[in-house]
Amino acid sequence: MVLLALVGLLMLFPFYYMIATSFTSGAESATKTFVLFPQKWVTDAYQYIFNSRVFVRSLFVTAGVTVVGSLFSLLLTSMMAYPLSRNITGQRFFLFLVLFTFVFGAGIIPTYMVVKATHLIDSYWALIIPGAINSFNLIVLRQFFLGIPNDLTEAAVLDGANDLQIFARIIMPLSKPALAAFGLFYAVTSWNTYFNALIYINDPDKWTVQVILRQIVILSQRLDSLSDGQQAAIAQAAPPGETIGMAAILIATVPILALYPFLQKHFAKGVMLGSVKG
Amino acid sequence: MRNKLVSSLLIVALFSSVLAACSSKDNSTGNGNASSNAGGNSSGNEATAAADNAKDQKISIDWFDGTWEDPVPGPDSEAVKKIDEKFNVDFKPQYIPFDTYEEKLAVKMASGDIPDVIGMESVDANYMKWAQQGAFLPLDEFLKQYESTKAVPDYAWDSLKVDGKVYGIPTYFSPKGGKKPVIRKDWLDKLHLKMPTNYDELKQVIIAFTKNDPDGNGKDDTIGLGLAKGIYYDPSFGAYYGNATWYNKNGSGQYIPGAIADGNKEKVTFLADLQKQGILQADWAVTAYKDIFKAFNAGKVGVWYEQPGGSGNNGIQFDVLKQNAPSAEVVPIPPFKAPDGSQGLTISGSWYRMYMISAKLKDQPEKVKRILEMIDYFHKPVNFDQRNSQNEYFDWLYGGEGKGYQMENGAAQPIAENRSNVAPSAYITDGGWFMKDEDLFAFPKMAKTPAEQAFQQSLADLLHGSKFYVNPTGRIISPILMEKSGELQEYITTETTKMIFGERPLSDWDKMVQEYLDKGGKDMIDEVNKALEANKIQGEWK
Repeated sequence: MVLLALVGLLMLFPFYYMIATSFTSGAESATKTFVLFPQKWVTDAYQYIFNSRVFVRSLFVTAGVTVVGSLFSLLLTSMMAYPLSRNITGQRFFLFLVLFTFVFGAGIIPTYMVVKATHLIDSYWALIIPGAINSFNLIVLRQFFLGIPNDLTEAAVLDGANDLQIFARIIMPLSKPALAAFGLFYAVTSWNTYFNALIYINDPDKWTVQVILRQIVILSQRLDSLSDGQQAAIAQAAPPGETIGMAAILIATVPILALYPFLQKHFAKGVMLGSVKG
Repeated sequence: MRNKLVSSLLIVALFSSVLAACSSKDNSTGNGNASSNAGGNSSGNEATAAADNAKDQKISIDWFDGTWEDPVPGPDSEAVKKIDEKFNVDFKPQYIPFDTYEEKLAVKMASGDIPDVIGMESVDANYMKWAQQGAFLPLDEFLKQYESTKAVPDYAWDSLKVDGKVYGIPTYFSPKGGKKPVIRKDWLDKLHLKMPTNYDELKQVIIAFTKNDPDGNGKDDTIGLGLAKGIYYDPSFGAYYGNATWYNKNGSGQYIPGAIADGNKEKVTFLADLQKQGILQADWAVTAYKDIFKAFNAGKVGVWYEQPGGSGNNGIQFDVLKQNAPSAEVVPIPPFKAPDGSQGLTISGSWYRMYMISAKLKDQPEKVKRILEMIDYFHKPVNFDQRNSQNEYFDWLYGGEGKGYQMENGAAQPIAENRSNVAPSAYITDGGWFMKDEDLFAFPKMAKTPAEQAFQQSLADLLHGSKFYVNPTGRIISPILMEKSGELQEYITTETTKMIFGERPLSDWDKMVQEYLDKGGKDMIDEVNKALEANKIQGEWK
């Protein structure tokens, strides 16, 4: 028990270190290689970040993409997973198509060309549509739907419900725990959108927080292997200090971290539900 | 084995499909661009109108580049409007932070979505590949037409040549710039020591700095010689000693990298001796170099590095140093006189960042001309005393006083949060070739504290008065050098680190050099020397 608690604390330590550094003054962090407890707690770093229009804006962009993107993904994934869990013609064929993308990806360049050809470049949809359905999630969700007995849907048919009504009124409410789990997966993926934003979005105003974060961290950490010219250029750009880098990482991490406890509840309930109704 | 075969086949298949897609895309976007340009012109047909009223035509230019500016400059800012008006263009910039720029550039180039103007930081394997594949326009015929390109020295053009042709226009970066060794002069004075002029004297100074309590706090807490993981900032005091400098020659008269030359052996012997005496900090081999900067700021390091103009928050912070060591005086260490009599530093390059023009514009001479005029306009040297609002040119470039910059103690300091929005120079690199190190002497005037000013002044004086060796490998493009030099240098770093710790005897030096040659060093040296001969390039002092 004590050991477990110690290991647990050890896991929290990096977070503590980030918090401590982010509240350190620039001058102090310029002389100390490791800050365990700042001499003086200051909020300079946070003031800098919240005064920077770019960072705050990118947080809103990311939040928007995460909310819309996760809902969109959940909707599409469940709408495809459900039919594949029932006996329909061509089920095996469509399942094969899904499994195929599971194994073979198209690569960056063809994907970029598709996004460009569909005029999604510089649109938020470029961050949502290309990864809307994750085939792994789809297959697991289908497995979950398979566990919902056919008797239920047949009863609904007798009551006069059509397929869409069955899906919306019977299947979806029964699947809340699964949806919560996959919603979380999708939300985390959307929140961490980095490479797609970098490649598909040209307007810096539309960048997600991860792109901005990376820039702040790169500028604030003295990286190895920079050329003389790069170092001079970075120096000229008045790089933010290390404390700001740490504060930025915290701000970008906390919102998505805060999502876990809320969804935890559904996970627990989900296990119970599944076991009773089997 | 079988798995490997299958996967490599798959990779080949994927690759060829990508390539096929690229080439077809190339054509279609090429045409698309041309037609949309023609459509955008009020006069309609670009080709016929070009001769008459070329100047009056509004030309649309896709400009793709990386940046270190924070925030990243956007596509519709005040600065973009200024550029549009000044050059009568529709300037469409796209900027990506440089550390991730390469990935996006590679995707764009491979998918045939090639912008009109492409920026890069330096010559690399991609530059060579794309130039050879004909993605860039050769620029040789234009170089004599503009003041800014006429000022570029030959050794800079040499570094940009692929198969004899120049494809990029470089932006000036002081050839004398880069990290230089510095020393705490107040410590020297306190311990009645002279500035070291060779490794033996340096050794005595380092020992005294470490043992004799130079900061006078009664504790044994000073680091004489700052040394970091990977022997970062190679402690070389002159071209003869530099690891990456191709100064020395081997028995058959070929240039060889400093890493395997006698200069490095002397340096490693020096470090091994200090290690044996317990003078180097115990954990240097796992200490990040940034942590040495912090220790320097705390006033605990005797010998370390800084560059002309400083490194902002990422380097020596003189205001912080002053708080921790009020009497601190930092000066550069002059180059040592080498055993062969030479004494001087190395020029590795004289530029940083460059612009290429897409080969798709070869039939649009007016557009190429307009782009070159724009670059030329930005690339004019502005002396320090002209960097204020009285100078209309400077004022325009930097976004106007009170908006893009403000005057502090007679020096124009950019206003960070506005600059990306209002200053055209946040978009297109500015600065032309300085001939007399005017840029180095401007740094002390821009310094924010007297201590920093004194340091920058002494650094500028030293660099201005020193001889400089032009590294011959900076003037050729050698694929093996690009591919191999990094990993070979790493091998030497690892092995010499072992030697410093006594895990490998120094008498193994020749064996190590042989291993280096066997690992591909010989091929690299052969290729470099062949390229040097073919281009009639020698290492020379300036």
